[in-house]
Amino acid sequence: MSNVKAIFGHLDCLVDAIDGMQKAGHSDFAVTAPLPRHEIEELIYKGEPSPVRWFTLTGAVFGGTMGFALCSLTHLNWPMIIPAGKPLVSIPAFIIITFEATVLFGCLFTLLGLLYHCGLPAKDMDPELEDPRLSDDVFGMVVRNLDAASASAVQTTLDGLGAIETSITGGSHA
Amino acid sequence: MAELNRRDFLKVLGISGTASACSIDPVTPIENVLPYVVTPDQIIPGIATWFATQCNGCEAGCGVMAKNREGRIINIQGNPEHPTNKGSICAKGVSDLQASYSPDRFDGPMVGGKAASWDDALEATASAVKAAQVAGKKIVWLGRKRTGATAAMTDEIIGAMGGTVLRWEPLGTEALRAAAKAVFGIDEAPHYALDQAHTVVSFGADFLNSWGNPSHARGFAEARDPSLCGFVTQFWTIEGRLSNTGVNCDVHLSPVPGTEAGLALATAKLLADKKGYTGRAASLIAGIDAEALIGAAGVRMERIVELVDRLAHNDSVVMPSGTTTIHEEAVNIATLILNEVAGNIGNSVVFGPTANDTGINTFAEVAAVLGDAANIGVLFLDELDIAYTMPASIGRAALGQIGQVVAFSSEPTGSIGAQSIVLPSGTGLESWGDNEAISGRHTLQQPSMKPLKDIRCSSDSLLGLAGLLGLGAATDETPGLPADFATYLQGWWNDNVFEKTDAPDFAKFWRNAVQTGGHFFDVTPTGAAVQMTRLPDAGAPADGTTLALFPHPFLYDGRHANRTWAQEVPEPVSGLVWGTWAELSPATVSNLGLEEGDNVTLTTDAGSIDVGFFASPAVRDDVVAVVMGNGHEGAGRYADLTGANPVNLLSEMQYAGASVQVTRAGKNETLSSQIGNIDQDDRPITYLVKAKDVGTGSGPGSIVHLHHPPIDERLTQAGLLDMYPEPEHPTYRFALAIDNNRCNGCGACEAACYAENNIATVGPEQARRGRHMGWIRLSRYWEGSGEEPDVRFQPTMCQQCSHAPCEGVCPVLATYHNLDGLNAMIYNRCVGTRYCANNCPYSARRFNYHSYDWPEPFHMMLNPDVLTRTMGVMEKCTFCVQRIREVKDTYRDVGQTVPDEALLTLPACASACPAEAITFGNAKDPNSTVSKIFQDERAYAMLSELNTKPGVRYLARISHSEVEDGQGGGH
Amino acid sequence: MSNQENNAEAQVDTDLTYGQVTKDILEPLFGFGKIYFAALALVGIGLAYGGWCIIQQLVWGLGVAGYSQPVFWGLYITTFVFWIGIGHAGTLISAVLFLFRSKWRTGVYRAAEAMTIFAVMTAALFPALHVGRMWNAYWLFPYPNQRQLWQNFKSPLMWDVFAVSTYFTVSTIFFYIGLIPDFAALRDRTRGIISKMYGSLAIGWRGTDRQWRHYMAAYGFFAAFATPLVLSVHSVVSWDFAMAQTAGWHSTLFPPYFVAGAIFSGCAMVITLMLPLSLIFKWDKYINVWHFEHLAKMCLLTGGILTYAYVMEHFIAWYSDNPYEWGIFAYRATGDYWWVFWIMVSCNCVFPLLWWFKKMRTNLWCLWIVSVFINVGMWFERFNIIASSLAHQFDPAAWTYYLPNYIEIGVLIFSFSWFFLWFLLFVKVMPSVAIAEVKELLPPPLKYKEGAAK
Repeated sequence: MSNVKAIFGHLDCLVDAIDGMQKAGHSDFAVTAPLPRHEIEELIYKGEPSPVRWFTLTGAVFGGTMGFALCSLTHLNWPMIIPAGKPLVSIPAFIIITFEATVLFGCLFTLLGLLYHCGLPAKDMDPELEDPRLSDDVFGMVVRNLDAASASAVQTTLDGLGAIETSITGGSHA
Repeated sequence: MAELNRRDFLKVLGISGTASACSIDPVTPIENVLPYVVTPDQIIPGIATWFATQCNGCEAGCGVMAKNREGRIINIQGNPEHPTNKGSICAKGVSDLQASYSPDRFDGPMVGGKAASWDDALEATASAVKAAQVAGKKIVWLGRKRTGATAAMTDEIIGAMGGTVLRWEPLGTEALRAAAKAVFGIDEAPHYALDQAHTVVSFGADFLNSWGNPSHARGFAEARDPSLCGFVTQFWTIEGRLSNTGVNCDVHLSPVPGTEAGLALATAKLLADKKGYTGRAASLIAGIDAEALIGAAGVRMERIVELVDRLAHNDSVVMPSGTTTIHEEAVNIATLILNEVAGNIGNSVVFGPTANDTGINTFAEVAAVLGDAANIGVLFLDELDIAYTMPASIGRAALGQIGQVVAFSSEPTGSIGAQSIVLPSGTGLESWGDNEAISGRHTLQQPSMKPLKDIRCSSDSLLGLAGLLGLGAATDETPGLPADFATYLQGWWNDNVFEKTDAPDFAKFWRNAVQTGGHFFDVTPTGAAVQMTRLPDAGAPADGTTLALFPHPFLYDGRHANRTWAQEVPEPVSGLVWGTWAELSPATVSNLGLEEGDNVTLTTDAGSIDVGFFASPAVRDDVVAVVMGNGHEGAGRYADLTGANPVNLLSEMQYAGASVQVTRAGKNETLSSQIGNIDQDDRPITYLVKAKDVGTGSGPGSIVHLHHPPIDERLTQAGLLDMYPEPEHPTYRFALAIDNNRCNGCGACEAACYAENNIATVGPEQARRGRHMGWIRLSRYWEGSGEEPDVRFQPTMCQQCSHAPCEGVCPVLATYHNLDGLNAMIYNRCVGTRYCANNCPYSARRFNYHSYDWPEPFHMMLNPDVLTRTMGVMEKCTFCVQRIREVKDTYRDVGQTVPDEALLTLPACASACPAEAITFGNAKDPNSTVSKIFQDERAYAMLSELNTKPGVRYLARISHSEVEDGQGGGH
Repeated sequence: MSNQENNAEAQVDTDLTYGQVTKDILEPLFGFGKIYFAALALVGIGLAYGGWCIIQQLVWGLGVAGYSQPVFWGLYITTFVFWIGIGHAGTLISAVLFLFRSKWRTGVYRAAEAMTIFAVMTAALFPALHVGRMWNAYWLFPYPNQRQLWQNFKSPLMWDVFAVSTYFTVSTIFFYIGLIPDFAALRDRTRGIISKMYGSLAIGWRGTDRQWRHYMAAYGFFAAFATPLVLSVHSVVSWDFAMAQTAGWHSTLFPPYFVAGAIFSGCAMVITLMLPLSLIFKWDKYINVWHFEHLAKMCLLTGGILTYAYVMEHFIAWYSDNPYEWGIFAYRATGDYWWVFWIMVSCNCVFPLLWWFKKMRTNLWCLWIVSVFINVGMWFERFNIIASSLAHQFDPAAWTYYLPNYIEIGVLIFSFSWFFLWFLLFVKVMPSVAIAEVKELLPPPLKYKEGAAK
């Protein structure tokens, strides 16, 4: 099994390439860009929203609950005569901390979700893509797990679609 | 700091171990020491033992209770049994506690500036006496007022030495006595009974504070209390400035200095004419031209007519002159005549139960002896600092020539030189003594703790001396002198007190006397008949700017200058601490172009001093009043710290009258005012009610015209006023009621608070940077001007609010509300965010910006029941929670709630107050005294519109003024 | 995210290539100039003097500062609020403007965020420095003491603790997430240990489609969280005052008034910092008058709100006929602190009016000088609120006058040095302009266009 790596200097070529690969039924490929491009996301994920939002929601709900619980439970745990006549659990006073905790945990969970779904932190993800240019001014593409025949086919297709350079990595050449 | 204190406290405990074995000085056997309340006389750690003894703060001779904890006296309160002060105590008396713990005390006898043993010191003295006798030089005893056995023994021994005994008080009643002698032929200062007077007229005597004794403050307060006497006395003061007493006046007449006597006589004349007076004084005032005299005094005729009208129709008292009066004797003669005409002699002005000044010399007599100083071989100084209290031309000059000065004193004074022999006499807490400062009131002083230093009371030293000189040895006819003064004292009391009683057995009598603090005869007051045949010269009016010295309410004549409490409790009228200042009229201030913090140079023909100033709205433009008490040399670290001695401006011993030049000088480095603003800036902080409204009200505060919309009860009922209900107070809601109408601004509460709560004194530098730690701020608002000054005092401490702004904002719950309604402070929990203090509308909280230290042995005086606070911690009044705890525990043991009478004067401030203006109690109990006062028509809560539900209520001051909106403030 | 129509509006040179952008922005990170070291030296001196003052305070107690009862808060809280306020522009620009998709944020937001974080770090010094027992300041963090007693969560100061720490955490996350792609770029542009360092900061970022997808989603959420936070933090800070009944503090106006003031000072500070930065680093392609003009407009808006608040405060105080309220506001304008008040008014309400004229708000000198004045004015605003209200509390018998002394000034200097220390490190360690986002503003390289060109 081998992978085909292609470097594109132009966005439209990359888009064509993605399109081509999908038409050709190759679904196992990754695309890199030095900047977020919505075209790419559109093509690949068809506007399906990222699951990170579920982390966010959970975090927010959790945080809010914890925040309010912290205030009210600690005050109930030691029922002092409460300053300035406020009752033990005084909602208005606790709203602020509840809100802050909501935001805090919402963000922390979102961060976790992001890292989890991006598979970060990662040491060597997509070794083919360890290419300084990719964080600079070119787009990259890796089509994975191809047998020798389809690999070269893919390579030619990509060359045809305007890749600056293409190469086949992994696997063995006859 | 905290650890240090704990260690020191243990040290104290260790000492008290021995102390309990012999908790008094070695000279006196232990079995005579009898506590007043708790019977066992050995010390139970944690339980205070109270000793009845006498106060040495001034010559009034009040009785006090010394609180002994673990062998150390930690507090002094008034002795309720004593007829003079009846349980109250003034700031001077409280501060006198510090005398025993002064870091500057002599460790033992000194000869020629070097420490010596008692034997050597007495030997040296004896030889000095012998030398003087041989050389035919005089032996002189010069000391403060002493009476009773103490005086008797001194007279006996000094007499035996062939010496002369002189006693003199810098603030004595000399002029008044002279006047009484001239008018009535009685060499005695009369007693003034204020409690029944509808009208009190003062010619300058600071009778509520530094003049006379606490009975005046109490009487005046009672006379101003409508609930007691059904009327409110009206107070007229006639002086060139307003003293600490004068600021309480309803009317202030400010005559040309030197014309007071004439004014008084003119008033007497008009009064006599109005009443058709035909008494013995009639002839004296017959020829007086009232019009002219009143004109000369520069006082409005209508006012005098008004005054005469009041005097004619009501009981009255005319008080004598003060230190700031020129021609004191003439003025006093005039006041006595005015009293005579007003019919007060024998009623409100009486002889008999009054200051016992037998054996007190006039200054002329003292000066005569000192003038011949070269012929004085030995001068025994009995706690009198002649270098400070006398003009240099007399005091210092004499000291230079005297052969040998022998000083009985526990602390250094300016009069004690390197060559002096010092016989440390200890303080009143360490030795036996007695007084009869007021005729018939024999007060005992018993040693109530082990002396901190190697001391002997002056009487014992004298006995030792007598022994060495071979005096008073037993002969056939005389039993001779006893071995120690304690025995002499008993003997004297046996002959002079016990004999006059019908007590069967001396032992019982003595025991009882020691327990109650003395034995008090009721001397029947008598009137007097005018003997005077022709009026002396009334004295000429002063020309130019005249100097007038007045005593500091706490430092007094300067004897308390080394007491940090007396220095740091703000002088009530000016709010100034740490220094000497001159009262200047606003006009003078602007003429000189003075700014706050400036100094002025005062120059007389006797000398010149630099002092700070206080722009007093009441002082005349041609009068410069200077406070006494500060500016010592060699009288201790605190006494020497600040100020200048105004007595150096005097060429003869006459506090008022010298002409003085005022010029601008540099900046004052020590003096600072602790009162922010002269008036209440049109804010409704304190209120007045009109005398005519008194008694017309129904319900709490009904006659106080609050300057904010009164809180509508319906709102409260509908729950719209309060977001939250008031917290539950199951048994107690401790509360304080302060009668602003009784309060005369004497500052006793502040001093007592310092003593009880281990409040740190911060010193001049920190004080001027606004780090004053006093828990009670005696706010002074100067609302009026001219003839109606309307000065109001309002003691402001933590108000213990039920809806306390401070509590809600503390992030660490270092302050919270307890079940008794107090805002408790947890000092250990405090981080010092100071948010609570920012949010306190009463500005009642104090912050420890540094760790303030108590130089040894001050730390032994700390109240072990109260935590000392360290750097970075907030503190405030808690109604003396430690005392509340104590009394609650006592009654919990018998399963009772604390009864009202046990609470009335529980906090230090309430127990001290000479005017009995402060009442403490449980507001939860509807029948308690405070609850009743809370319902008073004059009751109001400070800043009540903030609805903090404070636990303090003030009773509005009653004004006789007809000026509308006398309340001041409001829009 | 933001689409590519009308790049002209984005004011970025369309001839730029991605490669050029990367080069330009990373350029200044390599090599140090004289100015840089001079700045570092100044900062060092400031830290030394301030540190000496702080040590004195630690040893001798708060008394070495100029406090005078009943003024229990002074310069420290003033400066705390000042820095918290500065810390608002960053998140506002990066988060709120992100949600509004306004393009001018791109050039400035990175540095603004950095500024935010450092400002909050500076502000965070003060609660610790101003408490009486500094060594116990940690008691303010929510944990129980030996007797299971927790803090008082009803105290505005506890709200502060939560608000500020949350704000700091969230801003930092937001900041870091934005940096990840640029760290990747740095990793690829450096060699050896440095490359490894940036590599670990980039935590293996490759910019794959999958990463970008979740990244953009998460970034949106962060922005959505940060936005209410911006508004909440200074509201909470304002409650430190509004929740007290001290006259001049006790006002429902405070939260909006403080937030407006915070954004006002924050944007001004961005101008103050970024203008020299863009000149020194020759970044006029990325940060230029166009950005500053937008910031200036922000200031005009918020400054207007502020002026309105000032007027209203005084009007209501007078209209209420409450002797304490009116007493304070009259005192502020005419009393001992009149100079503070008039510095505040002239710097916050008068000078910024210049920016109503396009000539003025596009003139770099005018922009910079006025922005500095605004910062000064905003510091004095906080001082005016705190000092005057406390100096004239309810009871005239307790009035006083407070001025900061050399110790407090030293701590103020310390705070500025501390802030600039971090900022100086930042500009040399991280790209002060977001590379990836600038690239978004460029037209992507398209083959057919090149074909058409031929």
